[in-house]
Amino acid sequence: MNMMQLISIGVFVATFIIIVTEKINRTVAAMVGAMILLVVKIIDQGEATRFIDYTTVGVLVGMMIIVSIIKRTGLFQYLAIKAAKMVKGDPMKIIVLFGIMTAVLSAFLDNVTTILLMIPVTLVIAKLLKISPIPFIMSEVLASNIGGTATLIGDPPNIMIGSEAGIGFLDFVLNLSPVIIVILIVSVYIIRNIYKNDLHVDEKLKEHIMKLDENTAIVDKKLLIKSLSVLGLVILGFFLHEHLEYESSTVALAGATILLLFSGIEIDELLVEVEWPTIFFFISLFIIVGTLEEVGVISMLAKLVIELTKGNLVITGVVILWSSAILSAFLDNIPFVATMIPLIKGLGAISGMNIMPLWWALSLGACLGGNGTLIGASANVVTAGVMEKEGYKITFKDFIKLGFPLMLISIAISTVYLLIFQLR
Amino acid sequence: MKDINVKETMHEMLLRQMGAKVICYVGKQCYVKFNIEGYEISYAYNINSKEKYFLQRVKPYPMVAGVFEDLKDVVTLIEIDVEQFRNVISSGKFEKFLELNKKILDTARNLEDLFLYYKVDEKMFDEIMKEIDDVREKIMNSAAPEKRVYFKKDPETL
Repeated sequence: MNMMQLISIGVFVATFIIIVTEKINRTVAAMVGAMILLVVKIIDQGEATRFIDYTTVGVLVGMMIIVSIIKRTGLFQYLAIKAAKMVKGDPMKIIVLFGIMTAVLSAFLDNVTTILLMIPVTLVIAKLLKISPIPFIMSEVLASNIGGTATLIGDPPNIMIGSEAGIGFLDFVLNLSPVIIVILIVSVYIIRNIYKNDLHVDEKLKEHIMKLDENTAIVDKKLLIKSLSVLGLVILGFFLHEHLEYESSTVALAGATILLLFSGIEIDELLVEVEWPTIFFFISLFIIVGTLEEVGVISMLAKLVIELTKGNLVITGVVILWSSAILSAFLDNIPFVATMIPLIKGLGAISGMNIMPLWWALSLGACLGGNGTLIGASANVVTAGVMEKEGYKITFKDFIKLGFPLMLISIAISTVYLLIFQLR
Repeated sequence: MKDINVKETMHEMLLRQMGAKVICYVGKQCYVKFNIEGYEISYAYNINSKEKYFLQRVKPYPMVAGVFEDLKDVVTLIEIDVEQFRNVISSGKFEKFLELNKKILDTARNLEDLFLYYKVDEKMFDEIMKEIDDVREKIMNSAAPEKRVYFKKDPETL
C-alpha cells in the first residue's frame, strides 16, 4: 500500500468515525475530510469536481424545492384529515391508513419532509381522540423508511445507486415495489396489533374527527392546482426519463424550475428551505469516496470480497443485504452506500458477475436497515427530537424494541424475494 | 427550525379549524437587549405582512412603539428610547416611575377582566372615566415647557 492510499484510508476512516460518533456536525466532518485530501494534494480541484455525482445532487435540490412549494398548499393536512374522516375516526384504522399514506408519500418525497408533514396533523388527531400519538408516529416513521425504499427518489441511497449504477426510476419501481408492498402490509399489520390495546377511544371522541373540515386545510387552491400539475408531470418524467434519455436530475430540476416560474413565490424564500447541509454532506462524501476509488483502495477491497465469497453471487448478495441492513441500523447509510457503490462496481469489473441483483440487495439493506434503531435514519432522529419537544419521549430502547424486530422481518422477506427473483 | 415548523403547522391547523385565516410569512423576529445600570431594556421587532417593521418595547414594561418603513427608523427609535431611559435611570426616580407604570398597566388589565367577566354598572364606568381624566390632566399640567429636558424628539402624546 502506498502513501496516497494510506492517507486516503486515514481520512476516510477518521471522517467515518466522526460522523458516526457525532462529535462534530456530519457535514462539517465530511467537508474537513474532503478539504484535507485537496490541501495535501492527494487529488486536485478538477478531480474533486469530477467525483461529485451531480445527478444525486440535482434530484435532491429539485425535489426539495418542489416539496417546499407543495407543502405551502396544505395538501398533506387535507389528505390526512380526509383519511381520518374516511375511517370515521377509528384509531385502529387511522394507524393503518396513516402508515400506508406516509409510505406512499415517502416513495416520492424525502422521508424527513414526509414525517415532518405528518407529525402536526397526527398530533392534532391524537389530541382530539385523547390518546397517545406515539403508536401513530411509530407506524408513520417506520413506514416512511419502508416506502422510501420503493422508488429511485424515495431515499438518498436509492438516488445514489440509481445514478451511479445507471438504474432508472421504472427499474426501481418494478424490482423493489412488489417486495416493499409486502413488507409494508406485514409491518403495518404487526404495528397495529402491537398497539391495539392503546387504541381504544370513546365513540363520542371520534365525532371530533368527523367535525374537522379538510377544506380549511387548503391554503392556496391555485397554487395547489399548479403544484399538483407539475408534480404529476415530474412523476411521469421519472417513469419515462430513461426512454426520453433524460437524467433523473433533469426531471426534478425542470419540475422545480417550472414551479418556481409559476408559483410566484420569492426564490430566496424557497431556497432557504433547501437543506444545504445535506447537499454539502453529499458533495464532500463523493470527493472522499471518489479519492479512495482513484487511488485504488476500492479495487483492493473488491478483490478481497471476491476472495472471501469466491465470486458466488448468492452469497455476495445475501452478505450485502444483511451487512448493509445491520450496519445501516447503527451508521449513517449515506456514507455507507457511497462506499459500497464503487465496491460493487469493482466486483463487477473484476469478476464479470451480473451485479444488478447486488444493487437491489444494497438498496433494500441500506434503506430498510434504517428502521433498526433510533439513529438508523434521519427521519427517526428528527421524529424523536420533535416528539420530545411536544412532550412525548421516544427512547432508543423504545424504538429498538419495535424497530429492530420489524427490520429483521423486512430483511428476511427481502432475502426470500432476492433468492427467488433476483439472485439466480 | 424544523421543530418550529411542526409547532407552527400544528397551531395553524387548529386555528384554521376554528375558522381563522392564518398567514405566516417567512420573516424575522428580532430581539434587542440592553443592560443599563442593572435594568434590562429590551425590544422585539418583526416584519409584518406589509413588509414593514413592527417594533415593540418588551422591558422594563411592554409598549407598542410603532410600525416603520425602514429598519433604519427602528434603529433610530431604539437609540432615542435607550438614551431617554439612560437619563431617567440616572435621575434616581426610575424605580418609582416603574412602580407607577406597573400599577397603571395592572389597572388596565383589572378593568378588562371586570368588563369581560362581570356585570358592570354603567355609572361605575363614568366614575372611573372622571378619575382617569383627572390623572391625565395632572400629567398634562406637569408637562410644562420650562420643565422639558429632552429635545432630540418631540413627545408623541403630550
